[in-house]
Amino acid sequence: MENGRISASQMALMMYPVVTGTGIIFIPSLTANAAGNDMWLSPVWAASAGWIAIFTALHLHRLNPNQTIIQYSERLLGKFLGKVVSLVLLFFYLVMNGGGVRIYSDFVTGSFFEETPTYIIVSSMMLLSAFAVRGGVEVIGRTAEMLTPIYILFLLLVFLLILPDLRPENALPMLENGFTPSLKGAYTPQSWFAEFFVIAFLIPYVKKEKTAARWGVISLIAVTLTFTATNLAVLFLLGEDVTAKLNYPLLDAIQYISIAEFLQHLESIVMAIWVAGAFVKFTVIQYAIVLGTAQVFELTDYKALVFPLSFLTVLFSFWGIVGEADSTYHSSTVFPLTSLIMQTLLPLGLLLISYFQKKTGLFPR
Amino acid sequence: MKGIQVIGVTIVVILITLYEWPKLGKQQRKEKTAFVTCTGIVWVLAVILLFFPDMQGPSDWLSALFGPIGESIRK
Repeated sequence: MENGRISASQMALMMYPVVTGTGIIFIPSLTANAAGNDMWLSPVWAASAGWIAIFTALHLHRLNPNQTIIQYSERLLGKFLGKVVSLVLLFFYLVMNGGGVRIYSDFVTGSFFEETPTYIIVSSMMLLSAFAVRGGVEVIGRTAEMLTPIYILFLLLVFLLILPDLRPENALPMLENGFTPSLKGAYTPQSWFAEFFVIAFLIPYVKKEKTAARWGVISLIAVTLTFTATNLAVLFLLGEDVTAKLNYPLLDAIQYISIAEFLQHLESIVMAIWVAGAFVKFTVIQYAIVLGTAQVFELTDYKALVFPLSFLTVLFSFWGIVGEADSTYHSSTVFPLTSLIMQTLLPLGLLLISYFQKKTGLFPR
Repeated sequence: MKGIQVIGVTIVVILITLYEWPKLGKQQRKEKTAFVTCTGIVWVLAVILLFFPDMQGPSDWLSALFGPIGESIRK
């Protein structure tokens, strides 16, 4: 089915934008709403979902070598139940990717291309990622290897340029009400960290699988630092009350940058780079959906499904989503729960069954 | 206007088919079935969405299922 191979570092570079892609837009205001001026601590708690996701994906792979979650869930749960669970998981990722593309296009039309119809932005993005998915996992890996470092570099540059305007006293009083607010704020971002479970689709195609754990953890730590730094920067610059009210706090923070009234309007460059990161995100998830669908139906090749399923993702980005209020409600209230079920509890259940199977020797292949 | 949009969606579906169909081998009957089913579903859904853009979608179903519990957890 998939003859391409990626390196573990490419996998890490693929996963970084998967989590930060849409998260960096939504997480600051969502955590500010729940955690107040302890919002910078929330990503650290939320990262535990990422640790669980990487741990379960790696152990499931160790117990079921060279198989993706679609293949081993069928082996562990039986043919019928396995297929049902796989289809529900793929449906979850389809809704997630459709919603993600919609968030991206609302963001782009809302702040830059005000006259462009949303469906043009959505379709062009999905067309591009469909071509990348059709190229296979190697193409996606190399695309990520090329784009993600630039993406990280520009984020660092932004933090550096914001530095003179920061007012750290905005974070005071620190931990006024104990750890509870920051833990509450972690409820939404945990679902983004749980997206690390997507590596369950990628590990079978990683060369030198033993390095996958190390690179997965490096990617997770990088994401945690990014979210913490973003939340700190936004909090120090705008304060908790303003951040909670804004839709895109980081964008407003970037617009704030003005070095000697010369270096201004950086948001357009940052936007261009961010689009590249979002592209990697949608491509990786789309790849998981297409590969998974081909494996559920036991096809020999996934390539023919790429364009129809990308078109379906475009439809899912409109179907039932009226505006940004819908997206925000879904991201803050529904998605954390569905993600907890599909990306954290379901894999843990599969891992338990897998251990049990190995210990007792029951349910052979 | 709707007519033009339906034609547009149909053209996209035809282009996808023209691009993918010759690449599928004679032996790949299952792949062909999967492709036709998938493309058919997408075309039907696209046309339905053109005429009823406010139809309840998957995110509405998930909101109905998990929204109340999600809201109580957030508090």
